[in-house]
Amino acid sequence: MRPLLAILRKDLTVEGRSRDLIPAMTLVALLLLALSGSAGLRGLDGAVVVWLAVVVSSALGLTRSFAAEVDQEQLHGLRLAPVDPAWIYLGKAAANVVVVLAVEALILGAAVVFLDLPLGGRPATLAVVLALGAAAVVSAGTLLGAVLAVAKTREALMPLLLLPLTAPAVMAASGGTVKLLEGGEPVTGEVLLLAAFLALFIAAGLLMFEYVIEE
Amino acid sequence: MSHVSDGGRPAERGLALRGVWKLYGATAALRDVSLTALAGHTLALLGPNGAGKSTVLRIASGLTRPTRGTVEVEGHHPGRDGIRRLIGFAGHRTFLYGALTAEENLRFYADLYGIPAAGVDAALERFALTAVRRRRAGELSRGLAQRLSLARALLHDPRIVLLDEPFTGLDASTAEALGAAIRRLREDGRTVVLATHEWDAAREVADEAVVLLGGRVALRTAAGALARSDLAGLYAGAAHR
Repeated sequence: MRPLLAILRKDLTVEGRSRDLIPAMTLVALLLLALSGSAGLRGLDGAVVVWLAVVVSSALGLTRSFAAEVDQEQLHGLRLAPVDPAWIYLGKAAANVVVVLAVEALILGAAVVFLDLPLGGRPATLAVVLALGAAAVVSAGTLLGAVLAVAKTREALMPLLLLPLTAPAVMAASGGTVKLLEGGEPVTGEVLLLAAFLALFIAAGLLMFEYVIEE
Repeated sequence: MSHVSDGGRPAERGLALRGVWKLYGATAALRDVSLTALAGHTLALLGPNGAGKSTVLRIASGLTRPTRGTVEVEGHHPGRDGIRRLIGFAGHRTFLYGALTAEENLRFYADLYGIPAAGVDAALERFALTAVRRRRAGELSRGLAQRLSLARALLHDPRIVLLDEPFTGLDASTAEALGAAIRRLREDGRTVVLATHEWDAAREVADEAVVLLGGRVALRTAAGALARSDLAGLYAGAAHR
Protein backbone atom coordinates (compact mmCIF):
# COMPACT_ATOMS: atom_id res chain seq x y z
CA MET A 1 0.00 0.00 0.00
CA ARG A 2 2.92 2.37 0.76
CA PRO A 3 4.12 2.58 -2.88
CA LEU A 4 0.54 3.16 -4.07
CA LEU A 5 0.13 6.11 -1.72
CA ALA A 6 3.59 7.48 -2.61
CA ILE A 7 2.82 7.41 -6.34
CA LEU A 8 -0.68 8.83 -5.82
CA ARG A 9 0.68 11.70 -3.73
CA LYS A 10 3.52 12.33 -6.17
CA ASP A 11 1.29 12.38 -9.25
CA LEU A 12 -1.27 14.69 -7.67
CA THR A 13 1.46 17.05 -6.44
CA VAL A 14 3.01 17.12 -9.92
CA GLU A 15 -0.39 17.79 -11.51
CA GLY A 16 -1.21 20.45 -8.90
CA ARG A 17 1.94 22.33 -9.88
CA SER A 18 2.32 21.66 -13.59
CA ARG A 19 -1.43 21.69 -14.40
CA ASP A 20 -0.50 19.55 -17.35
CA LEU A 21 -3.59 17.33 -17.46
CA ILE A 22 -6.78 18.86 -16.07
CA PRO A 23 -6.86 22.13 -18.07
CA ALA A 24 -6.15 20.37 -21.40
CA MET A 25 -8.63 17.58 -20.66
CA THR A 26 -11.31 20.06 -19.60
CA LEU A 27 -10.78 22.22 -22.66
CA VAL A 28 -11.26 19.27 -25.02
CA ALA A 29 -14.38 18.16 -23.13
CA LEU A 30 -15.87 21.66 -23.07
CA LEU A 31 -15.33 22.05 -26.82
CA LEU A 32 -17.15 18.77 -27.42
CA LEU A 33 -20.06 19.80 -25.18
CA ALA A 34 -20.28 23.29 -26.66
CA LEU A 35 -20.27 21.93 -30.23
CA SER A 36 -22.98 19.40 -29.34
CA GLY A 37 -25.02 22.12 -27.67
CA SER A 38 -24.69 24.44 -30.65
CA ALA A 39 -25.87 21.59 -32.90
CA GLY A 40 -29.11 21.49 -30.93
CA LEU A 41 -28.48 18.43 -28.78
CA ARG A 42 -30.44 18.78 -25.54
CA GLY A 43 -31.71 16.88 -22.53
CA LEU A 44 -31.14 13.17 -22.00
CA ASP A 45 -29.25 12.75 -25.28
CA GLY A 46 -26.60 14.86 -23.60
CA ALA A 47 -25.72 11.90 -21.36
CA VAL A 48 -24.10 10.19 -24.36
CA VAL A 49 -22.08 13.31 -25.12
CA VAL A 50 -21.00 13.47 -21.47
CA TRP A 51 -19.51 9.99 -21.73
CA LEU A 52 -17.94 10.73 -25.09
CA ALA A 53 -16.33 13.80 -23.51
CA VAL A 54 -15.12 11.69 -20.55
CA VAL A 55 -13.47 9.10 -22.80
CA VAL A 56 -11.91 11.57 -25.25
CA SER A 57 -10.52 13.80 -22.49
CA SER A 58 -9.33 10.73 -20.58
CA ALA A 59 -7.45 9.52 -23.65
CA LEU A 60 -5.59 12.82 -23.70
CA GLY A 61 -4.86 12.79 -19.98
CA LEU A 62 -3.86 9.14 -19.75
CA THR A 63 -1.35 9.57 -22.58
CA ARG A 64 0.29 12.47 -20.79
CA SER A 65 0.23 10.75 -17.43
CA PHE A 66 2.82 8.17 -18.49
CA ALA A 67 4.70 10.57 -20.73
CA ALA A 68 5.66 12.31 -17.47
CA GLU A 69 7.45 9.12 -16.45
CA VAL A 70 9.77 9.00 -19.44
CA ASP A 71 11.30 12.45 -20.04
CA GLN A 72 13.92 11.84 -17.32
CA GLU A 73 13.48 8.06 -17.43
CA GLN A 74 11.59 8.22 -14.12
CA LEU A 75 9.97 4.90 -15.00
CA HIS A 76 13.42 3.31 -14.62
CA GLY A 77 13.59 4.80 -11.14
CA LEU A 78 10.27 3.14 -10.34
CA ARG A 79 11.37 -0.17 -11.87
CA LEU A 80 14.59 -0.20 -9.87
CA ALA A 81 12.75 0.28 -6.58
CA PRO A 82 12.02 -2.88 -4.55
CA VAL A 83 8.32 -2.56 -5.28
CA ASP A 84 5.92 -5.00 -6.93
CA PRO A 85 5.07 -3.47 -10.36
CA ALA A 86 1.39 -4.06 -9.54
CA TRP A 87 1.64 -1.28 -6.93
CA ILE A 88 3.06 1.07 -9.54
CA TYR A 89 0.09 0.32 -11.80
CA LEU A 90 -2.39 0.81 -8.96
CA GLY A 91 -0.71 4.05 -7.85
CA LYS A 92 -0.76 5.50 -11.35
CA ALA A 93 -4.35 4.34 -11.88
CA ALA A 94 -5.47 5.83 -8.54
CA ALA A 95 -3.99 9.21 -9.43
CA ASN A 96 -5.58 9.05 -12.88
CA VAL A 97 -8.97 8.22 -11.36
CA VAL A 98 -8.77 11.33 -9.16
CA VAL A 99 -7.90 13.48 -12.19
CA VAL A 100 -10.63 11.98 -14.41
CA LEU A 101 -13.25 12.30 -11.63
CA ALA A 102 -12.34 15.98 -11.24
CA VAL A 103 -12.73 16.51 -14.99
CA GLU A 104 -15.93 14.47 -14.99
CA ALA A 105 -17.43 16.81 -12.37
CA LEU A 106 -16.56 19.79 -14.58
CA ILE A 107 -18.04 18.01 -17.60
CA LEU A 108 -21.31 17.37 -15.75
CA GLY A 109 -21.56 21.00 -14.73
CA ALA A 110 -20.85 22.12 -18.28
CA ALA A 111 -23.40 19.62 -19.64
CA VAL A 112 -26.10 21.23 -17.50
CA VAL A 113 -25.18 24.61 -19.02
CA PHE A 114 -24.61 23.62 -22.66
CA LEU A 115 -27.00 20.69 -23.04
CA ASP A 116 -29.66 21.32 -20.38
CA LEU A 117 -28.80 17.95 -18.88
CA PRO A 118 -31.44 17.28 -16.22
CA LEU A 119 -29.55 16.31 -13.06
CA GLY A 120 -31.76 14.90 -10.37
CA GLY A 121 -33.49 11.68 -9.51
CA ARG A 122 -30.99 9.44 -7.76
CA PRO A 123 -27.73 11.38 -7.25
CA ALA A 124 -26.03 8.70 -5.14
CA THR A 125 -26.58 5.99 -7.77
CA LEU A 126 -25.58 8.45 -10.50
CA ALA A 127 -22.34 9.08 -8.62
CA VAL A 128 -21.70 5.32 -8.45
CA VAL A 129 -22.24 4.92 -12.22
CA LEU A 130 -20.04 7.93 -12.98
CA ALA A 131 -17.29 6.69 -10.66
CA LEU A 132 -17.39 3.10 -11.94
CA GLY A 133 -17.37 4.28 -15.56
CA ALA A 134 -14.43 6.60 -14.96
CA ALA A 135 -12.53 3.90 -13.06
CA ALA A 136 -13.12 1.38 -15.88
CA VAL A 137 -11.85 3.82 -18.53
CA VAL A 138 -8.85 4.73 -16.37
CA SER A 139 -7.89 1.17 -15.42
CA ALA A 140 -7.71 0.20 -19.11
CA GLY A 141 -6.14 3.52 -20.12
CA THR A 142 -3.41 3.37 -17.50
CA LEU A 143 -2.19 0.07 -18.91
CA LEU A 144 -2.38 1.45 -22.46
CA GLY A 145 -0.55 4.59 -21.32
CA ALA A 146 2.33 2.42 -20.10
CA VAL A 147 2.34 0.46 -23.38
CA LEU A 148 2.44 3.68 -25.40
CA ALA A 149 4.76 5.65 -23.09
CA VAL A 150 7.73 5.44 -25.42
CA ALA A 151 5.77 5.49 -28.70
CA LYS A 152 6.28 8.64 -30.77
CA THR A 153 2.67 8.55 -31.97
CA ARG A 154 1.15 7.88 -28.54
CA GLU A 155 -1.27 10.84 -28.76
CA ALA A 156 -2.77 9.39 -31.93
CA LEU A 157 -2.70 5.77 -30.79
CA MET A 158 -4.29 6.19 -27.36
CA PRO A 159 -7.82 7.13 -28.53
CA LEU A 160 -7.64 4.54 -31.30
CA LEU A 161 -7.00 1.83 -28.71
CA LEU A 162 -8.90 3.19 -25.71
CA LEU A 163 -12.21 3.90 -27.43
CA PRO A 164 -12.85 0.38 -28.78
CA LEU A 165 -11.41 -1.31 -25.69
CA THR A 166 -13.67 0.55 -23.29
CA ALA A 167 -16.69 0.84 -25.60
CA PRO A 168 -18.76 -1.85 -23.80
CA ALA A 169 -18.11 -0.26 -20.41
CA VAL A 170 -18.84 3.23 -21.74
CA MET A 171 -22.09 2.00 -23.32
CA ALA A 172 -23.14 0.52 -19.98
CA ALA A 173 -22.23 3.75 -18.20
CA SER A 174 -24.02 5.85 -20.77
CA GLY A 175 -27.14 3.64 -20.69
CA GLY A 176 -27.16 3.70 -16.89
CA THR A 177 -26.77 7.48 -16.84
CA VAL A 178 -29.73 7.98 -19.21
CA LYS A 179 -31.94 5.70 -17.09
CA LEU A 180 -30.97 7.52 -13.90
CA LEU A 181 -31.62 10.93 -15.41
CA GLU A 182 -35.02 9.71 -16.61
CA GLY A 183 -35.61 8.68 -13.01
CA GLY A 184 -37.32 5.43 -13.87
CA GLU A 185 -35.80 1.98 -14.43
CA PRO A 186 -33.30 0.40 -12.04
CA VAL A 187 -29.66 0.31 -13.20
CA THR A 188 -28.51 -2.81 -11.35
CA GLY A 189 -27.54 -4.51 -14.62
CA GLU A 190 -25.45 -1.56 -15.77
CA VAL A 191 -23.74 -1.22 -12.39
CA LEU A 192 -22.88 -4.93 -12.32
CA LEU A 193 -21.61 -4.78 -15.89
CA LEU A 194 -19.44 -1.76 -15.06
CA ALA A 195 -18.10 -3.49 -11.95
CA ALA A 196 -17.29 -6.59 -14.05
CA PHE A 197 -15.43 -4.51 -16.67
CA LEU A 198 -13.57 -2.65 -13.94
CA ALA A 199 -12.50 -5.92 -12.31
CA LEU A 200 -11.43 -7.29 -15.72
CA PHE A 201 -9.37 -4.23 -16.62
CA ILE A 202 -7.73 -4.07 -13.19
CA ALA A 203 -6.90 -7.79 -13.31
CA ALA A 204 -5.35 -7.30 -16.78
CA GLY A 205 -3.36 -4.35 -15.45
CA LEU A 206 -2.07 -6.25 -12.43
CA LEU A 207 -1.07 -9.25 -14.52
CA MET A 208 0.44 -7.45 -17.50
CA PHE A 209 1.96 -4.27 -16.12
CA GLU A 210 5.27 -5.88 -15.15
CA TYR A 211 5.81 -7.08 -18.73
CA VAL A 212 4.56 -3.84 -20.26
CA ILE A 213 7.15 -1.70 -18.49
CA GLU A 214 10.00 -4.13 -19.07
CA GLU A 215 12.49 -3.18 -21.78
CA MET B 1 48.28 -4.54 -19.83
CA SER B 2 45.99 -7.43 -20.72
CA HIS B 3 43.90 -7.41 -23.88
CA VAL B 4 41.41 -9.98 -22.61
CA SER B 5 38.61 -9.91 -20.08
CA ASP B 6 39.00 -11.67 -16.77
CA GLY B 7 36.37 -14.25 -17.71
CA GLY B 8 34.00 -13.06 -15.02
CA ARG B 9 35.67 -14.59 -11.99
CA PRO B 10 33.39 -15.37 -9.02
CA ALA B 11 32.27 -12.27 -7.13
CA GLU B 12 30.06 -13.15 -4.20
CA ARG B 13 30.57 -9.61 -2.97
CA GLY B 14 30.34 -7.40 -5.97
CA LEU B 15 29.12 -7.65 -9.52
CA ALA B 16 29.85 -10.27 -12.18
CA LEU B 17 28.78 -10.55 -15.80
CA ARG B 18 29.51 -13.84 -17.50
CA GLY B 19 29.27 -14.37 -21.25
CA VAL B 20 26.67 -11.64 -21.65
CA TRP B 21 25.20 -10.95 -25.06
CA LYS B 22 22.58 -8.35 -25.84
CA LEU B 23 20.90 -8.41 -29.21
CA TYR B 24 18.49 -5.79 -30.53
CA GLY B 25 17.06 -7.58 -33.54
CA ALA B 26 20.06 -8.47 -35.67
CA THR B 27 22.30 -5.89 -33.98
CA ALA B 28 24.55 -7.07 -31.16
CA ALA B 29 25.01 -4.36 -28.52
CA LEU B 30 27.10 -6.69 -26.37
CA ARG B 31 29.09 -9.73 -27.49
CA ASP B 32 30.19 -12.24 -24.89
CA VAL B 33 31.05 -9.67 -22.23
CA SER B 34 32.50 -11.03 -19.01
CA LEU B 35 33.71 -8.78 -16.26
CA THR B 36 33.85 -8.56 -12.51
CA ALA B 37 33.74 -5.62 -10.15
CA LEU B 38 34.67 -6.47 -6.59
CA ALA B 39 33.48 -4.89 -3.37
CA GLY B 40 35.63 -1.93 -2.35
CA HIS B 41 36.73 -1.35 -5.94
CA THR B 42 35.81 1.10 -8.64
CA LEU B 43 35.66 -0.13 -12.22
CA ALA B 44 35.58 2.33 -15.09
CA LEU B 45 33.88 1.29 -18.33
CA LEU B 46 35.36 3.11 -21.29
CA GLY B 47 34.71 3.08 -25.00
CA PRO B 48 33.47 5.24 -27.85
CA ASN B 49 29.78 6.00 -28.36
CA GLY B 50 27.83 2.82 -29.05
CA ALA B 51 30.47 0.55 -27.52
CA GLY B 52 27.97 -0.92 -25.06
CA LYS B 53 28.88 0.84 -21.80
CA SER B 54 25.34 1.95 -20.93
CA THR B 55 23.97 -1.45 -21.94
CA VAL B 56 26.32 -3.14 -19.48
CA LEU B 57 25.05 -0.88 -16.69
CA ARG B 58 21.40 -1.39 -17.60
CA ILE B 59 21.86 -5.15 -17.63
CA ALA B 60 23.80 -5.06 -14.36
CA SER B 61 21.00 -3.04 -12.73
CA GLY B 62 18.29 -5.42 -13.93
CA LEU B 63 16.64 -2.77 -16.12
CA THR B 64 17.43 -4.80 -19.24
CA ARG B 65 17.65 -8.57 -19.56
CA PRO B 66 20.65 -10.05 -21.33
CA THR B 67 19.88 -12.09 -24.43
CA ARG B 68 22.42 -14.64 -23.27
CA GLY B 69 24.75 -14.99 -20.30
CA THR B 70 24.35 -14.39 -16.58
CA VAL B 71 24.60 -11.49 -14.18
CA GLU B 72 25.23 -11.80 -10.47
CA VAL B 73 24.86 -9.08 -7.89
CA GLU B 74 26.36 -10.13 -4.58
CA GLY B 75 25.86 -13.68 -5.82
CA HIS B 76 22.20 -13.19 -6.85
CA HIS B 77 20.24 -12.38 -9.99
CA PRO B 78 19.62 -8.59 -10.17
CA GLY B 79 15.95 -8.76 -11.17
CA ARG B 80 14.76 -10.18 -7.87
CA ASP B 81 12.91 -7.79 -5.55
CA GLY B 82 15.25 -8.22 -2.59
CA ILE B 83 18.31 -7.65 -4.75
CA ARG B 84 17.08 -4.36 -6.20
CA ARG B 85 17.70 -2.78 -2.82
CA LEU B 86 21.40 -3.60 -3.24
CA ILE B 87 21.69 -1.57 -6.45
CA GLY B 88 21.95 2.18 -6.86
CA PHE B 89 21.81 3.44 -10.42
CA ALA B 90 22.34 6.97 -11.71
CA GLY B 91 21.76 7.03 -15.44
CA HIS B 92 22.10 9.50 -18.31
CA ARG B 93 18.83 11.03 -17.16
CA THR B 94 18.17 12.01 -13.56
CA PHE B 95 14.99 9.95 -12.82
CA LEU B 96 13.78 13.14 -11.08
CA TYR B 97 10.42 14.90 -11.37
CA GLY B 98 10.94 18.50 -12.44
CA ALA B 99 7.79 19.77 -10.70
CA LEU B 100 8.82 18.32 -7.33
CA THR B 101 11.36 19.97 -5.06
CA ALA B 102 14.69 18.33 -4.34
CA GLU B 103 13.37 17.20 -0.96
CA GLU B 104 10.08 15.90 -2.38
CA ASN B 105 11.93 13.88 -5.03
CA LEU B 106 14.08 12.21 -2.38
CA ARG B 107 11.08 11.71 -0.10
CA PHE B 108 9.19 10.00 -2.92
CA TYR B 109 12.01 7.56 -3.59
CA ALA B 110 12.51 7.12 0.18
CA ASP B 111 8.85 6.08 0.44
CA LEU B 112 9.36 3.50 -2.29
CA TYR B 113 12.37 2.07 -0.47
CA GLY B 114 10.77 2.33 2.99
CA ILE B 115 13.36 4.82 4.24
CA PRO B 116 12.39 7.17 7.12
CA ALA B 117 12.37 10.96 6.69
CA ALA B 118 15.66 11.28 8.57
CA GLY B 119 17.32 9.44 5.66
CA VAL B 120 16.21 12.17 3.29
CA ASP B 121 17.64 14.90 5.53
CA ALA B 122 20.90 12.98 5.78
CA ALA B 123 21.12 12.57 2.00
CA LEU B 124 20.47 16.28 1.43
CA GLU B 125 23.20 17.14 3.88
CA ARG B 126 25.64 14.55 2.53
CA PHE B 127 25.40 15.96 -0.98
CA ALA B 128 25.32 19.61 0.14
CA LEU B 129 21.77 20.07 -1.14
CA THR B 130 20.18 21.42 2.04
CA ALA B 131 20.18 24.98 0.71
CA VAL B 132 18.20 23.95 -2.39
CA ARG B 133 15.92 21.39 -0.74
CA ARG B 134 12.81 23.48 -1.53
CA ARG B 135 13.79 24.29 -5.11
CA ARG B 136 12.13 22.34 -7.86
CA ALA B 137 14.34 19.76 -9.56
CA GLY B 138 13.47 21.25 -12.95
CA GLU B 139 14.98 24.57 -11.90
CA LEU B 140 18.30 23.16 -10.69
CA SER B 141 21.54 23.60 -12.64
CA ARG B 142 23.03 20.56 -14.36
CA GLY B 143 25.56 20.12 -11.55
CA LEU B 144 22.96 20.35 -8.78
CA ALA B 145 20.59 18.02 -10.62
CA GLN B 146 23.46 15.55 -11.03
CA ARG B 147 24.16 15.74 -7.30
CA LEU B 148 20.48 15.24 -6.53
CA SER B 149 20.40 12.29 -8.91
CA LEU B 150 23.37 10.78 -7.11
CA ALA B 151 21.71 11.42 -3.73
CA ARG B 152 18.63 9.59 -5.06
CA ALA B 153 20.72 6.66 -6.30
CA LEU B 154 22.52 6.34 -2.96
CA LEU B 155 19.55 7.10 -0.71
CA HIS B 156 19.06 3.45 0.24
CA ASP B 157 22.76 2.84 0.87
CA PRO B 158 23.23 0.33 -1.98
CA ARG B 159 26.16 -2.08 -2.07
CA ILE B 160 26.51 -1.83 -5.86
CA VAL B 161 26.64 1.66 -7.37
CA LEU B 162 26.26 2.04 -11.14
CA LEU B 163 26.96 5.47 -12.63
CA ASP B 164 26.42 6.32 -16.29
CA GLU B 165 28.47 9.32 -17.44
CA PRO B 166 28.53 10.89 -13.97
CA PHE B 167 31.12 13.56 -14.88
CA THR B 168 29.44 14.83 -18.04
CA GLY B 169 28.53 18.50 -17.93
CA LEU B 170 29.96 19.13 -14.47
CA ASP B 171 32.24 22.04 -13.64
CA ALA B 172 35.62 21.32 -12.09
CA SER B 173 34.57 21.77 -8.47
CA THR B 174 31.42 19.66 -8.83
CA ALA B 175 33.42 16.95 -10.60
CA GLU B 176 35.92 17.04 -7.75
CA ALA B 177 33.10 16.69 -5.20
CA LEU B 178 31.69 13.76 -7.17
CA GLY B 179 35.13 12.16 -7.26
CA ALA B 180 35.36 12.51 -3.48
CA ALA B 181 31.92 10.91 -3.09
CA ILE B 182 32.99 7.96 -5.25
CA ARG B 183 36.18 7.52 -3.23
CA ARG B 184 34.11 7.46 -0.02
CA LEU B 185 31.90 4.74 -1.50
CA ARG B 186 34.96 2.68 -2.31
CA GLU B 187 36.34 3.16 1.20
CA ASP B 188 32.96 2.04 2.58
CA GLY B 189 33.38 -1.25 0.71
CA ARG B 190 30.87 -0.48 -2.04
CA THR B 191 31.29 -1.73 -5.59
CA VAL B 192 31.31 1.17 -8.01
CA VAL B 193 31.02 0.77 -11.78
CA LEU B 194 31.04 3.92 -13.85
CA ALA B 195 30.69 4.33 -17.59
CA THR B 196 32.43 7.43 -18.82
CA HIS B 197 34.08 9.35 -21.62
CA GLU B 198 35.83 11.59 -19.08
CA TRP B 199 38.87 9.44 -18.48
CA ASP B 200 40.93 12.18 -16.82
CA ALA B 201 38.32 12.57 -14.07
CA ALA B 202 37.48 8.87 -13.83
CA ARG B 203 41.10 7.78 -13.62
CA GLU B 204 41.41 9.64 -10.29
CA VAL B 205 38.79 7.38 -8.70
CA ALA B 206 39.00 4.09 -10.63
CA ASP B 207 41.00 1.02 -9.65
CA GLU B 208 40.49 -0.78 -12.92
CA ALA B 209 39.38 0.09 -16.42
CA VAL B 210 37.59 -2.00 -19.00
CA VAL B 211 37.55 -0.74 -22.57
CA LEU B 212 34.61 -1.86 -24.70
CA LEU B 213 34.83 -1.73 -28.47
CA GLY B 214 31.93 -2.79 -30.64
CA GLY B 215 30.22 -4.52 -27.72
CA ARG B 216 33.26 -6.60 -26.77
CA VAL B 217 35.76 -6.27 -23.95
CA ALA B 218 38.89 -5.12 -25.77
CA LEU B 219 41.05 -4.36 -22.77
CA ARG B 220 41.08 -4.75 -19.03
CA THR B 221 43.81 -3.03 -17.08
CA ALA B 222 44.73 -1.23 -13.87
CA ALA B 223 43.46 2.34 -14.10
CA GLY B 224 46.89 3.81 -13.46
CA ALA B 225 48.33 1.94 -16.43
CA LEU B 226 45.95 3.43 -18.98
CA ALA B 227 46.83 6.77 -20.53
CA ARG B 228 44.54 8.94 -22.62
CA SER B 229 46.85 8.31 -25.59
CA ASP B 230 46.32 4.53 -25.17
CA LEU B 231 42.59 5.08 -25.39
CA ALA B 232 42.90 7.26 -28.47
CA GLY B 233 44.97 4.53 -30.11
CA LEU B 234 42.43 1.83 -29.25
CA TYR B 235 39.50 3.91 -30.52
CA ALA B 236 41.32 4.80 -33.72
CA GLY B 237 42.24 1.16 -34.30
CA ALA B 238 38.63 0.10 -33.82
CA ALA B 239 37.40 2.81 -36.18
CA HIS B 240 39.72 1.60 -38.94
CA ARG B 241 38.70 -2.04 -38.54
